[in-house]
Amino acid sequence: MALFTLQFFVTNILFSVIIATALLRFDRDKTHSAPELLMYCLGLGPIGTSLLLYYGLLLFPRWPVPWYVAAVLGVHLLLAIIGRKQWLRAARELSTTIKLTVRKFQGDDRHRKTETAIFSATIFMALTVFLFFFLSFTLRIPLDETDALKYGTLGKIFFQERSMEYRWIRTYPKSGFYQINNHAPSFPLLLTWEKMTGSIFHKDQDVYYKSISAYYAWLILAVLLFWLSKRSKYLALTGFFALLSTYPFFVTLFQQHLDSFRIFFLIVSWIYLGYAVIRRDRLSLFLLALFSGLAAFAHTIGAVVVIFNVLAFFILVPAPWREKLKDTVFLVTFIIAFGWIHYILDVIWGFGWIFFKRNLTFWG
Amino acid sequence: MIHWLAIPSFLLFLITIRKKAAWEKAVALAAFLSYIFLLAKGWDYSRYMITLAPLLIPSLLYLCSEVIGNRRRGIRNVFFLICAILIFFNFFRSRASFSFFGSYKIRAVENHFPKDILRYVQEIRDLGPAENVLVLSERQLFFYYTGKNGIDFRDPKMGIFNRAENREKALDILKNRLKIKYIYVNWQTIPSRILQDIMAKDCDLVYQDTMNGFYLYRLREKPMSKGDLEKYFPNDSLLRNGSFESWSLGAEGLPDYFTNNDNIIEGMVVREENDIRVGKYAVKITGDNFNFAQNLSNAASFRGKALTFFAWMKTNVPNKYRLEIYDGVKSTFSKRHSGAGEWELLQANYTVSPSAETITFRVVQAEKTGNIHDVVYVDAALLVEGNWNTFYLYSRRDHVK
Repeated sequence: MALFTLQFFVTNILFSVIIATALLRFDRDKTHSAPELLMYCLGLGPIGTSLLLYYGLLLFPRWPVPWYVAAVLGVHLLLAIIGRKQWLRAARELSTTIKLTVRKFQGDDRHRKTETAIFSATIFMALTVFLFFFLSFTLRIPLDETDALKYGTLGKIFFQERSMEYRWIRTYPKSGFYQINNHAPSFPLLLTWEKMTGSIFHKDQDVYYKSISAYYAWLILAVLLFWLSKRSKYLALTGFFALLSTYPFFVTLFQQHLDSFRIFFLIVSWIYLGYAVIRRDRLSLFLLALFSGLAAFAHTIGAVVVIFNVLAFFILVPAPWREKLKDTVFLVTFIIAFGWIHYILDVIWGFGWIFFKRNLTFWG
Repeated sequence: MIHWLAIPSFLLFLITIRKKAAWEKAVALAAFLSYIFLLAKGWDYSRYMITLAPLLIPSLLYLCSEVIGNRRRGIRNVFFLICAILIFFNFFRSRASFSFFGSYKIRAVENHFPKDILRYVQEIRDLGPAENVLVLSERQLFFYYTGKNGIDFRDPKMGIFNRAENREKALDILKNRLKIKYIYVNWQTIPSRILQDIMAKDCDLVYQDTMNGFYLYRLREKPMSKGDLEKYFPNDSLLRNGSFESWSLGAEGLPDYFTNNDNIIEGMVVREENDIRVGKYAVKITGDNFNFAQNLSNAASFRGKALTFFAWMKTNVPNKYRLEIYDGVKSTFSKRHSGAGEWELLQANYTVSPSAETITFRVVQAEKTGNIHDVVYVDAALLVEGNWNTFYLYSRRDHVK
């Protein structure tokens, strides 16, 4: 559990905060709320690590494991340097938000106080119950879900081969593992990352990989609560339970799967689609590209849906044609860089994504 | 339900589109196109359709709260009450799924994971570097956990095997070209008819996990000789008249040594001369509630010992009939007959309780259908000491908990 805690803290929290502060540096007009951006960025640490590993294994295959770990840490160190002055801003904004909330609570009438108390207590209780079951039971059961095992086996192979070539094959001749898969490798690479960091401490486990689904499910719930509580706390609670009452979403809290992982990036990409159209600032556009690219990097559904994001942006952004075109080219370029590149490479050199079914085998 | 509620909301959005800001239109357009795409990709697949729920739910609630606005508290309370009812209904509708998931994933019931068979496969020593395990399972445990060489049943390499015309050729391909030594199969994956034949006739079942439905077979290097067969298969059955050849009371009475336990009336059990599995006769049982049984005379001498009860059964009533061993303390059952209208070999394994005073072997109905004309044929019942296994028997129902 100690290694898991370290992996979780560094990858999900530290890396995410570093990315958030680096992004805040480009918010020159201070139009973006630091706590809100931080909340969305909590999803960027793990997938950002996957993206770095993807490029690392693709461009520099078969290097020793510590090199890849060092490269990921190095990039985040660089980002931390870029955003060094924003740590203070983020902390200040966060503390101001907390202070304001407390002050507002103190000044509220009895009805509002009850509403806030019910809201906080319910979320706290739900989180406590979840953590009890998750840490006591669910995290301890072996990895056992068709897709999670399939991606997990891929993740293990990436770790063994330290190369991304394998991504484009169907049969892995060294074990006979056969897969029918059109998705980008971001999810399997989380296990590769766990194995890589684990190997430094001579540990071979998959606990971190198993925690991903629940982590992103809670992030989705947090986004929902954030938006609805702006209107009313009761409305937020209603949305919270309504989403939990849908069985396929509920299971993402305990299942070892990638559904919540892929859905989170889509949801946030839609939020930034809205912001990009309203504000038309560079950072909103960049964040739309970032989250759309990562949605594509998470799953084929995302790869298709982000095309609609680009289309909606192009049609509805209130700007002259030339500006529209310029912004859309910017958007598309970064979407490709942040994940869509996988599908392009797959169509050209791989088994053809959803278009072809080439039967390629490397490393035989 | 959320998706149905989205339709009027979307229509409302279209009606009021002129008042909407550009960003609202952009998000609505992207969501609408995504929705159409997801519907086309898998409208009945909940995992795809959940994609939009985290957007649809807050949008719907937001829209409703906008419509309600700052009206009287009573209206707001009614709105929240309706929401609460809908949420409760949604939980209630999926209660069986929540309950199953709770025991399987949240409380992590230990025996849901086939760890023993995976460990067994990991520890196989007689698998050379060029030899393989044929893997018939969608649940990808083999490749993740065992580290052994396998060939997935969907691998294009299997094409040559799938095209084989008969069992002999298929067996040759399996052994000599694909270098398969073991077959690892999960109940969810149904082997081809030829492969089922090979598993039944050319393999030894070396490990089984009936709880999770995993079986491991080893291909025999050469066919069994008569001597081997005698070594492997029992000659003496503890059950008397298990082939139903003796009928001292006549064709309408009970077969010798079998009892009716008071719930079989005249005509329910008769001698069958046409639909038989071995010998000249079988038994035909008609009815919805019966207890066709034989008691072992010297029960005390089997205390603590393992027994295996086999019988061939044929019926076209699905999941109704099965075998039972009862020792006055506890019972064990075989799988249920699938109801496919074919002869199926059922098997019940049992360790007799240390305090057992009686041992009874029964052919029973697992559940009543209400139809007193349901028919089951039974033949070649066999009771042997020890823990024996039949060849691969496929029964989906028995693995669904």
